[in-house]
Amino acid sequence: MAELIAQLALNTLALAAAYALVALGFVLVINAVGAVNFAHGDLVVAGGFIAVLLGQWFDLPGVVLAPAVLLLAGTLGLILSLLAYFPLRRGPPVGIYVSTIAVGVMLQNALLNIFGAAPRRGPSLVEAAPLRLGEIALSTQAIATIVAAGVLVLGLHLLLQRTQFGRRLRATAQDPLMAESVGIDTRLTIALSFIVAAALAGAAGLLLTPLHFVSPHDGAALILKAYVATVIGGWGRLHGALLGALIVAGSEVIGATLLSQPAAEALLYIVLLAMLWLKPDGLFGEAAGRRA
Amino acid sequence: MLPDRVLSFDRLLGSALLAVALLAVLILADSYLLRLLAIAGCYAILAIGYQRIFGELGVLSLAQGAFFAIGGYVTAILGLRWQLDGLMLLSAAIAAAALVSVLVAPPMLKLASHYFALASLAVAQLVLLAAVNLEELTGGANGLSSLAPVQIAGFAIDQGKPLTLAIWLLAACCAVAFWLPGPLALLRRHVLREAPLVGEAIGLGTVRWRISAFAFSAACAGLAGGLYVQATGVVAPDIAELAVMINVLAMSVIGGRGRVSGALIGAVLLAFLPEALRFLGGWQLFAWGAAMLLMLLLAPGGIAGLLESLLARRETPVPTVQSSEPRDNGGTLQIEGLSKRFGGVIALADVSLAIGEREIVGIIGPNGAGKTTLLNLLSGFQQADSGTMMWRGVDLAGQPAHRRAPLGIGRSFQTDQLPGDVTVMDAIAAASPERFRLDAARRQAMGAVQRLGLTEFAATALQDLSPATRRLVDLARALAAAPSLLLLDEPTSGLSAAERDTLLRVLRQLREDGLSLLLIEHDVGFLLALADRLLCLDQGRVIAQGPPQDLAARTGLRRFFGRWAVS
Repeated sequence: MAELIAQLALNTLALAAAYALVALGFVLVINAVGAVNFAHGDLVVAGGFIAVLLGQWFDLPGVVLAPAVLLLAGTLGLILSLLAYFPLRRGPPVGIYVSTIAVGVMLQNALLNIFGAAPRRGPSLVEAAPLRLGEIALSTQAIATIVAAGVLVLGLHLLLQRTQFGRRLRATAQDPLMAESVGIDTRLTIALSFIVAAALAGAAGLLLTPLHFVSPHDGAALILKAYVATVIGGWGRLHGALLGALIVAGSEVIGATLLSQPAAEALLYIVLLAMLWLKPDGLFGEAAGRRA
Repeated sequence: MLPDRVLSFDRLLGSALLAVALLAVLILADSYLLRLLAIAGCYAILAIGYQRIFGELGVLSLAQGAFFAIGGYVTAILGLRWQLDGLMLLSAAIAAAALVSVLVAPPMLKLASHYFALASLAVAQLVLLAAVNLEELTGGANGLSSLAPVQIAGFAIDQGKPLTLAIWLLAACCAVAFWLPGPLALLRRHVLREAPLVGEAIGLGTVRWRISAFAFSAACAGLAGGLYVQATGVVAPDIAELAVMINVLAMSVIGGRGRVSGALIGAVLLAFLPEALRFLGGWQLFAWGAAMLLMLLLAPGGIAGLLESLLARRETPVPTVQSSEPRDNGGTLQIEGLSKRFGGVIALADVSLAIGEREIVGIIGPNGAGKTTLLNLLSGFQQADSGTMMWRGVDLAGQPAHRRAPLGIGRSFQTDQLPGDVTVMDAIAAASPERFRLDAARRQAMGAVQRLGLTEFAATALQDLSPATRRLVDLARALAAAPSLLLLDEPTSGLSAAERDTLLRVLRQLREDGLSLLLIEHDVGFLLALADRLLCLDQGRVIAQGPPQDLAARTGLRRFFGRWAVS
């Protein structure tokens, strides 16, 4: 029993760690450009398939492949911003929603044609035996997932708080015109935020594949989970997104154990709608209306 | 955008396309082609509905596919269990979809746009989960099949020619319903989409307009779903998948946003292109996404928009004569103890103020004094924490922003909020009290245009004007609603000396005409020449109020008046 509970808790944390990366990238773009990147879920899936492919080619553990996945997914983010964001940045945000949906459709169908619809498993993060704590055996996969995500979140935190890029990003998010007038190249800043967001999405894909598999159709569910985590955690806060991801993963693992997987998913969406109705500011408050 | 041109060309092209489709149904004998045409008709109805919420109001709903699925499943389930009459089945499909939309809309449509898009995606995922997992009801992954042909008054409407004809006749009905509100409503939806604040200020209730548009789109989707299931004879979870939604979006974007003709072009392409593009195999959807992206980048009006710019008449309609402006004059505003905080910051503290008929009151004070907050409370964009605002004996606190224009309160904006692609005349016409007729609204608009000396710009798009001229247009826009109290936010900023003098003359004339004015202004000289009374605000408090010359002479108020202080 103790082992089951420990393992369940560990799995929840691992899933939450991956979701947190998805949610952080999602929020990063919203804060930088004031519009949702609807291809974000598909970028996570793409990251998963990049990991699957690299795993097949090189037969290396996921941790070693991670830099390559980050780089390739980041490149996808750059391409996305060039195709779907910059040409339309002067128009209303809905244009960007639709253009990112279009790119997401292209990405999803490219993956579908190359890999097929069946869920695929990516390379394990590490090759190691389960960790034994007395009676209890713990999955090293889950532990590695948590550690890897923790490293990335810490890296993001330092990037946003300690570097020039972070300061520029925050200035651009607050007031693009003002940022431009003090000499910030807002286009470069925005392109970089797309790259970082996509790299985080790719990393999340890499972390998700060994335990949860990926299939090309997962994008919509992933972006919704990121959104639920963000709505629960509030916009623009690192710890909010982390807590939101934990709640989403917890309800998914516990709901799937007690009820069924579809029932858990449905419950998540119902909670989302109820929250938007009753408490649209997030649990920690910030006016929903002010983010256009 | 010229709403009459967009709409008249859309009516022309859309009617022609509908006529061709109906003719094709009558002539064609090939059952395979008829079947494709039937499916195209269902898509057309689905997309026509979507044009109202997404195309015209610019609200990205991702639930249109879900409403289609609801219509489909309701038809199939009721048809199999109780063999209801066809009209009953389709009515049930429409009612079910519309009902769900009205239930989920109020909480969702109040939200900022991306919240709405994602919340509607959650609704869509819920419908998909229900379709796959509620096996007792929906048949699960296998769906429901062997539906009998629909019966209407005892006659079976067979698949093939009769059903296809019925589908296209219903598509024509949807097109007529779409066109019915006319060009003035189209113009107002455009303003609401491009400039929501102005929309509220001219009396359009954003949420109400959105809910009715959302319900219309859902009703069309429900009907389309019901017909689609009749045309194919089966229903399965794939009609609830996101791919359907993507197709709807693609039909609208590729065919032409906000237009029936766009929906029809998109629907025919969606139904017939897969045949032509069979060589692409699994890459068809990829190509569909790429086409959508290209359209967005190169031709935002879609194919219908391209045809319009090629074929439609180009001359802009000449504005006609002014009509006398109806005005029920006068009114007094009584503000008592008004307070507003933002978190820990006090924006307004216990502000009291009265404005009489034909009175001009100016507000001065440093940045952050609470001037704009006061205007926002009066125009309903923000809610006061305490205090009362009585206007003509009505407490404004209970009146949302869009109700205040009909009450006779107008406002101009400090920063440019008007949409750039409409003409001066139309930007003002959108705000006129006229309800249905664009030409009457334009005639009324011309009154305000002449008053501010903008006649030469009447047919110019706003984006081609200087910022100063656009400010005058915004003032004319506020005047067009025939207000009795006008709230002006920094009306002189950015104006040249000559424009400033024109404005001074116009505002004095307004007072002669019976209006009361409340204006925020940094140009103290302008206020000294214009205002009957001044209010000095600092850190949310009224420091002093009284006749301008008296205040300017007070030593304690020197910092408010700068070089205009009388010493």
